Parts: sequence; C-alpha cells; structure tokens
Amino acid sequence: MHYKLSLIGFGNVARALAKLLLRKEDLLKQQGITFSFTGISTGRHGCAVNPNGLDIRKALELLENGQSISALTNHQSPITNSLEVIQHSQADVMFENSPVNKQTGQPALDHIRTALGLNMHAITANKGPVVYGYRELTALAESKGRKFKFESTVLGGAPIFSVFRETFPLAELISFKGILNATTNIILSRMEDGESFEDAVNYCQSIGVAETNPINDVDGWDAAIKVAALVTVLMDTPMTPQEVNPTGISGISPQMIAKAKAEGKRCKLVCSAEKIGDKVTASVAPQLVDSTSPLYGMMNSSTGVTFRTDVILDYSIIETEREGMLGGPVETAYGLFADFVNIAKTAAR
Amino acid sequence: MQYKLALIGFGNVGQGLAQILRDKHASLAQQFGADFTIVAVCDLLKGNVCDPNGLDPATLLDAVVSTGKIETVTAPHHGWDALRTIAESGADIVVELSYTDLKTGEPALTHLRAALNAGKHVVTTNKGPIALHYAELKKIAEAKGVEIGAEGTVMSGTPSMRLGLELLSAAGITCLQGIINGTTNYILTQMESGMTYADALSEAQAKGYAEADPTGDVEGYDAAGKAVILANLLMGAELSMNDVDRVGITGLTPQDITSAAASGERWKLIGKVEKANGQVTASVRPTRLPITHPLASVGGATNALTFTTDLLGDVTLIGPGAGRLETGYAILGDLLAIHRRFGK
Repeated sequence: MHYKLSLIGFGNVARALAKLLLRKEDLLKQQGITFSFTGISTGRHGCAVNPNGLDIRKALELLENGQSISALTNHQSPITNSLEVIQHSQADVMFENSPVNKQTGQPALDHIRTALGLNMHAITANKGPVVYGYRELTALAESKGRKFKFESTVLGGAPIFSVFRETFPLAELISFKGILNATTNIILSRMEDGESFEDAVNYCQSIGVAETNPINDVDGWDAAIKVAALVTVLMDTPMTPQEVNPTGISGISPQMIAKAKAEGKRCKLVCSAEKIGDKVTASVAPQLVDSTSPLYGMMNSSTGVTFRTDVILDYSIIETEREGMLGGPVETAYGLFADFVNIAKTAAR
Repeated sequence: MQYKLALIGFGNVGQGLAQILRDKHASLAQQFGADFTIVAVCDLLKGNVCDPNGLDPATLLDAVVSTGKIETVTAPHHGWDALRTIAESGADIVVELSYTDLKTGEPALTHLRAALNAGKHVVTTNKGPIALHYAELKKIAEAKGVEIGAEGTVMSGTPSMRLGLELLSAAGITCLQGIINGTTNYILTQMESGMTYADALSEAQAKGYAEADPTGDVEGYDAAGKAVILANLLMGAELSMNDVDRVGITGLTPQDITSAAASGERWKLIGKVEKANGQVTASVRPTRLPITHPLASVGGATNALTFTTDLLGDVTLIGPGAGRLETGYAILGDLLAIHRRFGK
C-alpha cells in the first residue's frame, strides 16, 4: 500500500523522520509499504505542496541551507500556511511536529482536527494536543476509522501507551513514578561528578539535548507536560501542566548534591502521579532517592517510569542511551516512524 | 462477539484467569465487545466438566475451594480427557495450562496440535511446546488461519512479547538480555546478603518460588527455554534447547559473590539472545554486572529484559515473573489480541 505523507513542522525531529524513512525505504517496500511526501510546512521557510510527490531530498537540502521550500510547490493555488498544506496535500498520514504550546496545545490541535476531519491518520510527537485534545481527537479518529498516535511524546521510542493498553486492557493505573526529562537528569548526573550547574547546562546545549533557552527543561515544564499527558491518557483524567505545577532544579546547589552523595543518595527530578477515587494528584519536583529506588540507577540521559496498577505487581520501562546513539531528535523521530509502521501494518492485515 | 474457551489445566494460572473473567466479564463486553465464556475445564487432578452453554467462573472457583475438584459442578458432561474436551467441547479457543515439560513438551504439545488442527486458536503459558516445537505449531496455525498466543511463557504478566513485537515491527531487535528466571535471582539476591546457597534455596522452596527438584531453575534449563522462545518468536530464529550455551548458578560460591560485591559488581543469571551477521545465538550464564547496569538493581524474584535495537536506546522492561493474576492477565492480553484480529 502506498502512503502519501505530509509533514507539518519541519524542525530537527521532522527532518530526522524524513531521513529515517528514506533510510528504511527498501525495508518498508519489502513489507509492501511505499510512501511519498505531498506536503511540508515549515516555521520560517515557507510551505510546499505537490499531491504527486515532492522532492524530499531537495527540501532537506534547501532547509539546511536556510532557504525557502516554497518553490517546490506544484499546485494551482498558492499555499501560504500549515492548514492549507494539510487541506491540499491529499495525504494519508499527517505528522504534526509544530512547537509545543503548553498553554493551549495550539496550533497543533487545529492541525490534527483538520487532518482527521479529512480522513488522514494523525501522528504527533507534540505533547500539547495530547494534553489538550486527547478525548476529542481520539473520538474524532475513531469516528473516521483513522488513528491518532503519539507514542513518541513520552519516553522517546518506547511504546508505553500502546503496551499498557493492550497488555492490561481493564487495569486501572493507580500511580506512576519516574524520570521523564533527560536534560535535567544529565545536569544532575554531571553535578554529582562536581561540574557546576552552568557548565552542565552548556554541555547539554553543546550536544543538542537542551534548547538555546533551557528554561523549559530546567524549570520542569517539559516533565510537567509529559506527566499531564500520561495522566490524561492512561488515567483517563484530563490534566494540564499548570495543574502539575512543577518545581525545577535551578534551586539545587552543588552542596545539596554533595551532601546527598555522602549519604548514599541521589538528587533526581521525580515525576509522579496518583489516582485516589476520581481525583489525581501529580507532581514534578527534585527529590532525594536512595539505592533501593529504581530511579537511583537512571543516570545521564536514561529515563523511565514505574507503573502501579490495580491488577499486577509494579512494572517499569526504562530507556537507556547506548554509546554512539544520537538520541534526542533521532529517537523521537523513531517513535513517529514506529507509529506509522504500526498503522500501515494494522491496515495491511 | 462470543468466544468459547476450553481450559486445559486448572491450577493457579487457570484459576487466575477464571477469577479475572468472573470479575471483569461485564467490562470486557462493554469496552471491547468481547464475551469470553468458559465451556470446558479439564485438569489431571481436579477432573473435567463441560457445558457448551457456558460455565460460571465463580462456580468453578468455589468448587475448587470447597472440594478441590471441579467434577462436582453441575453440567451435561463430565469425565472427558483433554483430547476429547478439545474435540467435543465446541471451544473456539483452547487455553493450554498443563504442567511444563522442557524435554518433550508433552502433554501440552499433543493438546496444542489437536486444537490447531481442529482450527482452534490456542493461548498458552506453557514453555515446553513453545520452546521445543514452535516452528511446527506456527505452520499448522498459519495453514488453519488461527493464532498462537504465548505472552505468558516469558515474564508472565510483564508484557515482554508485546513490547518486543511493537519494537520489532519497526526497529528490528538485535539483542535481548535479561533476568528471566525469578528463582535463581532470588537465590543470588539472598546470597549477596550473606546467606549460603543451600539456605537460600530452601527459603526459595518454602516461599514456593523453587520446586522440590530445583534442577530446572538452578541449572538454567528454565531460562534456556525462555531464551529459545525469545529467539524464535521475536527474532525469527529456529533454535532448539541444545543450541543454548547454558551454565547454571550451582557453581557460584559465596566467595564469588563477595569478591564481586567488593569491586562494585553483582552476579546475575543472564539469558541472552543476539543476532549478528544474520545468525542468532543464545546463552544462559552467570554474569558479573557493574551495579550501575540497569539489570544489576533488579533484586528478588523480579524479572527484567533489555531490548537492544539499532535505532533506539536500550529499552529495559522490569516486572513480576510469576503470579496467578499476573499470568492470568497475560492470557487475557492474548485473548484480546485474537479478538482484535478476528472479531470484526
């Protein structure tokens, strides 16, 4: 089966996805899956639509040289914004990767609504629309016989949402606890080795893990929106990052970390939530953990969560970076890729 | 959609499944449109009962508690053996839960063959037939257009197979390694806190983790069976038990344990399956891991499995490796996978 793909948002993650798809093109073809790109929308470098297929390599090249991709458009009317890309791309699958908006989830929400409304599958690494539109978008997707997938929003490429729902179909998630933000975990790990907070932040920026403005990670907002997404989806209780009200790690001093280390403990940015009755309380805050905690061993960019359900003993999923792995955008791109492959394989059965 | 289940074996796991169906029958129907009805149960010790119109799970469970038998349950048919139950109960899905034999796979193998040949789906938590004869069973299942569910054979209710299949579908697994035998991990954990091997073993036996004859666990056969299952089901290999390079934990001395601890390391019995140059190899052997390793901090009877793929960081799944309800949920997951595929 052939899939026409549109990329809404063409930053690091979407470009890594395009490259990954190209790298795996032959492998997918062996499994009966072929694809072409019919729409791309960027933040600052224009939009391109061609229902017969765009030259994706050219688009990547233009973007990496800081040039506009608009000239690639082959369409009767001019295409000027992301919604027009979705409307005219005739795509089967829309990948939503616009910047995360922790207040409203926009414009990603509108992108996904529009795509599902036009009978496209929607796949996103964007936490905003999951937090602000999970129920609505899931219902819309179901009514259209399409999928709304978002595995890469939490824990990179590890499919924690679908594994939970398929394995424990009737289980109620009572609580979870984990480390969900890699940047702060790297910073805390390096501070334990004596590096200053500033140097550790600089290091994260130099390897491309932290944004130029690391405040979103450091103040706990990235972790908070992931907690909100897990609560919203797996505890079926809508929650916003503002309700999580995170405490970040900027107040952690080298002295606090040294003292914890001397006591055999480690400082971690702990993410947790608990459901009691219909009420969910959630938190993101630095905590000291000792060596009996599953979080103790999660160092550097390792992230992971322990789930407690009403039916079985606790289980955990941990993702650990290997030597030589690129991490970051590539990992997130992998999650999008896996969502696409799973959709294509389910459709083929 | 209604599915009629025949349960072959009604020990802990079978009763766990019955308990789940008793408690969750209504929500399964409501949320998934799936009605799983037990029509027959056949157990070597507890007897047989069959009612094509359905048996009440609560009645079955009560009978076991009060009499230790299920023969006492009122039904049109009693006294059938397993093969007659499979053939004549009218079941769509046979849930095979008889005792495990890693040498012959019997009697489960005969049960599964009979069920598949009769065009019935099978779900099993029995390592024997899956480790020894998966290729043959898979062939019959494909010819008949039915499914084999085996989630519960490795790590019980911790979703190792499902996570593996999800990851596999896109990332391609290159290596699987982990703690896949809870008994030996319990013994090693106790030895680390100063207990002798003999004491740790009798404690594991007292807690019901280890059997009276512990050979299957401590010599690594159980872990080897699971390694074969992982290799064949998740990596498409065709290994047999003899292909596993297997060493148990009986050769480990208290000195080995303390000297590892002194250098910041721990002994774990690691099952490993690796794919290199198109060749899949499997091993089970005691391995010294640095305490910072994600598998090193897994203590007691807990199981863990690390998935290495070429695209992702390592994904480690940690959870219970046994348990009545845990394994029951593994079966339910397989039943719902059949419903997702065939129930439309």
